[in-house]
Amino acid sequence: MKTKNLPKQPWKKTLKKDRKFLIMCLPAIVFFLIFAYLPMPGIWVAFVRFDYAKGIFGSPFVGLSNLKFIAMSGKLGMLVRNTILYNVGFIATSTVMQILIALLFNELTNRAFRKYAQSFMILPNFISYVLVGVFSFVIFNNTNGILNTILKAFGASPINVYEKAAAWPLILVLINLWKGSGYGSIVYFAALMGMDREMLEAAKVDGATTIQRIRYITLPSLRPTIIILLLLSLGGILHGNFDLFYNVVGSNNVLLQNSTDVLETFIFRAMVSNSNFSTAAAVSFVQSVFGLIVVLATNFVVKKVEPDYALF
Amino acid sequence: MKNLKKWTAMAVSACMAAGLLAGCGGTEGTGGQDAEQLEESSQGSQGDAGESGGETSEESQDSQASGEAYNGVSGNTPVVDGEIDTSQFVTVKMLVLGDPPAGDTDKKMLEVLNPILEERMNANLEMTWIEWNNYETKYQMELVSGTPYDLVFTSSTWLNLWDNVSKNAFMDITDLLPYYAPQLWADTTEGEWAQCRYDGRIYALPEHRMWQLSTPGFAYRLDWAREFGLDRVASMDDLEKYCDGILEKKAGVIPFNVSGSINSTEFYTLWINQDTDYVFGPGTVGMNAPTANVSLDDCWTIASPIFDDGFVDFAIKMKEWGDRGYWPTDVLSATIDAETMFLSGQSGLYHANVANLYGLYEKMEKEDPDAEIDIFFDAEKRGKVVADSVTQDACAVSAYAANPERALMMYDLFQYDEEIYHLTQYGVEGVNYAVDEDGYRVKPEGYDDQMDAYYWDMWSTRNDSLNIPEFNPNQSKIDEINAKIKPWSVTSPWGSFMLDTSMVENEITAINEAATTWLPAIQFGKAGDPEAAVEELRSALKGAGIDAYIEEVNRQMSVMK
Amino acid sequence: MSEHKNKVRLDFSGRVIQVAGYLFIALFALSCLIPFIMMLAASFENERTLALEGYYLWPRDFSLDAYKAIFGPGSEILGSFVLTLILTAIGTSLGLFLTALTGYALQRPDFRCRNAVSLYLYITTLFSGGLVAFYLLITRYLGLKNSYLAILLPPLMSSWNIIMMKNFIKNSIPHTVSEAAEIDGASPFVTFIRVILPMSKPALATIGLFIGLGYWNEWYNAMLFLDSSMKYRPMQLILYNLINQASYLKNSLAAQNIPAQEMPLETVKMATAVISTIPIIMAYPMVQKYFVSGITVGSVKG
Repeated sequence: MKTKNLPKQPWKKTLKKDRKFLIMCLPAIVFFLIFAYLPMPGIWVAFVRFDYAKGIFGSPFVGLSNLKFIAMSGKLGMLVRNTILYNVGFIATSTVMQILIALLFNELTNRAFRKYAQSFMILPNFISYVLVGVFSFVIFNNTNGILNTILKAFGASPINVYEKAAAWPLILVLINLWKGSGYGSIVYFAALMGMDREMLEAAKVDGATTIQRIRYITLPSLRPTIIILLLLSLGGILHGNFDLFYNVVGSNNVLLQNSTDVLETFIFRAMVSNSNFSTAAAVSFVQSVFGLIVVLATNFVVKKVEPDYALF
Repeated sequence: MKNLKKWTAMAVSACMAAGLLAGCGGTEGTGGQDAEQLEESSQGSQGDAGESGGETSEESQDSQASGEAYNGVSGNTPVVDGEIDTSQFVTVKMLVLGDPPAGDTDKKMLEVLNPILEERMNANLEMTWIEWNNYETKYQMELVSGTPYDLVFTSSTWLNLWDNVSKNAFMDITDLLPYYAPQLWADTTEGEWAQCRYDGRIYALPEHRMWQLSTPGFAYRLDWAREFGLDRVASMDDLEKYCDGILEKKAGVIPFNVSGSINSTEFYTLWINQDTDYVFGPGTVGMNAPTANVSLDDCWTIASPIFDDGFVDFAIKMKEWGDRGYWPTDVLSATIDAETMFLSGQSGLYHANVANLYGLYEKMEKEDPDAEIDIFFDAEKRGKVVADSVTQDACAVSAYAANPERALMMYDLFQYDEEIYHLTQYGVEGVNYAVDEDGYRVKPEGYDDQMDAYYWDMWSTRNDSLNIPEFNPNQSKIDEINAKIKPWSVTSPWGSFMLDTSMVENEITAINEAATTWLPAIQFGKAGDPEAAVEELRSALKGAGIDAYIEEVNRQMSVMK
Repeated sequence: MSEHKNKVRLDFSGRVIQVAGYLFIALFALSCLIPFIMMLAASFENERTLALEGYYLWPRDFSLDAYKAIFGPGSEILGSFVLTLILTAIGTSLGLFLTALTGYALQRPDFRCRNAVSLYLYITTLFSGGLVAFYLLITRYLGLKNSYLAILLPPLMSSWNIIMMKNFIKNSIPHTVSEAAEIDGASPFVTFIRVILPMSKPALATIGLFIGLGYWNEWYNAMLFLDSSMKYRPMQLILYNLINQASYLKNSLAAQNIPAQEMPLETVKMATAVISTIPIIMAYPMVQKYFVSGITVGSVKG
């Protein structure tokens, strides 16, 4: 293992020195051993045709054939593209939005305003996607939707949003922002609150403008948080947010599918009348492997550029 | 090579923990060992269950073959000299689907039932409910978990009975039945047993003593139809006139005010049943049924109606209906409660089944006493409906069951003992139900709709001959409808034929995906140009391997012809 | 606190940011609030009116039916509410403590195995054994079927939170603080309890909020591991059942012979959403004040 700040030592000696820290980590190590590592071999179920009598490891091995149906559908490329693009879009926009909110909060001086605004902004996080779906239909539907009512009031012709494929990436990104930004900004806000204030005071004394302060002191202080959160979210790059897509778009609006179908909705349609957990496990295994590769690659780059911020 | 792969995959995950820690010494090997333990023990215990099941059937086959008296194969309830020995007390565990009654009436019923069972067979019953939410996942997990349920509710139509049997989740009970469930054994015809067999062995207890015919149809407002100059809706043309009448004369009402789901195939099914000879049989794949058996006469061949010319006409017609506004423009994304819409007079049609009608009449009476409801069945034109399989509701014995014999003895009483039948089906007399002078089942005095409601969800034990009819003001209407559809019933021509899907599993999944993607959109006319959409669906199905699927099914079926 | 200075000497860019900031945040906060108000209104709306006239900012036809349905006779909801509070309190305090402890150890530069342990934790975010293995682990190997431990234990710690905690401490509490404490002979554990914990309030508040909400919103494990024989089950499961019963019955089994019981209504969905949001409205202000108190942290640098 790499030890950055200290000279290399024999492992026994290392262990002795590390003992008190290892003991502090022991609850976590045991916890993850039991709840995460112990069940891990169970992923084998992805590669077998399950047999109740034989158990996971005794069932006949079928390799990757539990995944063959995705290739047969001819949609693999489109699904992977959509899933990744949506995730990239979600991650990028929500990171920017969350930082923006945190920065503004840091600048705004009215405490009561801050307090209420922040409380309101995290409300959407508590509404289930079922309700988000209901609300988005209230806004976008063709008959008496809020959007079309407004359009009609201005004399414009109504738009059938549920037939406009091009509109959906934007709508979904906005919904994702609406739902998660307030909650997500808390991490950044807390990071700002914990930041070293001396530099800020010094900058003020030196006559730096607000924008300079933000640009040269506040923002850079968020860098480790940004990078860590980015790296963490990249692991799920091939996982689509099923609840969002299913409840807001529906899983079988053919007209929108080219721009709204992701791996999860596809699998939902395919599995609707056969509950084969091997297939589900196989798909999620591939998603995880892909996520791992992306994270490793990104981490490699981060390590080159900014070694301190690398995950490992 | 195979071994190597297996070893690698397991070793990678199991040793990850170990390897990491080994990097800084100390806890080396812990992760690996524990992971191995998990693997071993899961192999061990599941293997054991499988083995003991295997032994049971082997031994009993032997005893049958030699024609000797059954001498008790397993555990706690042997048959000694023709007598069943119940000296050991056991508790039978039963798994059913449903939300348990709010007033714990199931537990109160058990308090009455268990002393009776104890006296008769020295056993008690314990019930576990799987609530409706995510029932698919929970049901499979209960089976995987190895809990020794003795009686498990199952269904060949919506709980993957045969898939689970083929994966060894249930016990072969062929040899136990004559001894432990004699009334059921004697009362069930060989044809009915045939539908419960897999590879010649019996794995399920049928629902064979309750008559029902599930045939879908559209409930509509008879009073409105008369307004539009129709006697009743009896054909597709009538349906069209009825819907046009609504658009014309009932402002604000949408003829079929629903939201689509990925299983929306009301009109597709209607088209199949009205305009084609296809019947849905064992070759039908998935819920959206892009394949069907060719006809009742040619029932051993399957094909896909989607590739017929008629399907294009159907798609064009549906587009036209959709454009006219027979259903909401956003039908595929809307979240509309169809029943509320129909009851509140905002929808002219409600897709229903005979079983839904009771409730529908009753609710409509409360909503709008002047409204009259009739139903237009898909099967109306041809008057033929293949009767439900007796395993539509069924009961199986888990492979891990501890007391299969006592469970079967109990099940026999649930279905054939009048006292126990009434107790299990209706609850405690005087509390959950009462019988009036005319012999009808009514609500007893002081009955609270929520706290005293009782139901029994092992539906397969229902037995018409022991029923106490419920008093229902709409009974005459229901009787009328039942009298009308009863003659339509055609016994399933496929008997015990069981499709082996193991060779085409991937095709089935891929076909399902294509069908759930396109069929609802096409039947609601929401897939753009109908002809182009049909072409897209056809090519998606081709890509999914529908030809290979049809070929495989026809190969299996040709043996039966 | 620097607020006064800000008010007195604001440069041009600062003034622009103030104006644009208030406007932007106000609009966004409003857009978040309005659906919630509509939801609140709908929960007090008569079912029929809601179906006919749609959503609005206040109930046009006031009715308590939805809440009566939820809190009606035989309802487990009050007991469940208390149970959920207890589970959340225990889970959050224990989880937060262990998370902070691990996070603190992992950021110590003199902890040589820190990267190995971090990696060990991180891998769990990428790979899981899947549902079947997890189910077998809880039910068969740990024997936690129908035990509240099955709800309490699995979400106790997450690698995300530990890594986040580690970074908070690393970036806001200089290592010299720990060193200073340990020169006086304190062990790292004592340092952690006496010095680090009090200084990590913003991080503790943030992560505690996340953990607490995780417990509050947990229904999936409860759905898997607690069956109806349990007298009380976590509230979100009860609410989830209420919400989904209707859609379940209507969408997938309407055409089959399942005896349909009374189906919950649209307004019930709204009422459940309202109830599940109440704790955040109550708890958030308490947590919020720790974000502000975190400002003192920077001055300790020695």
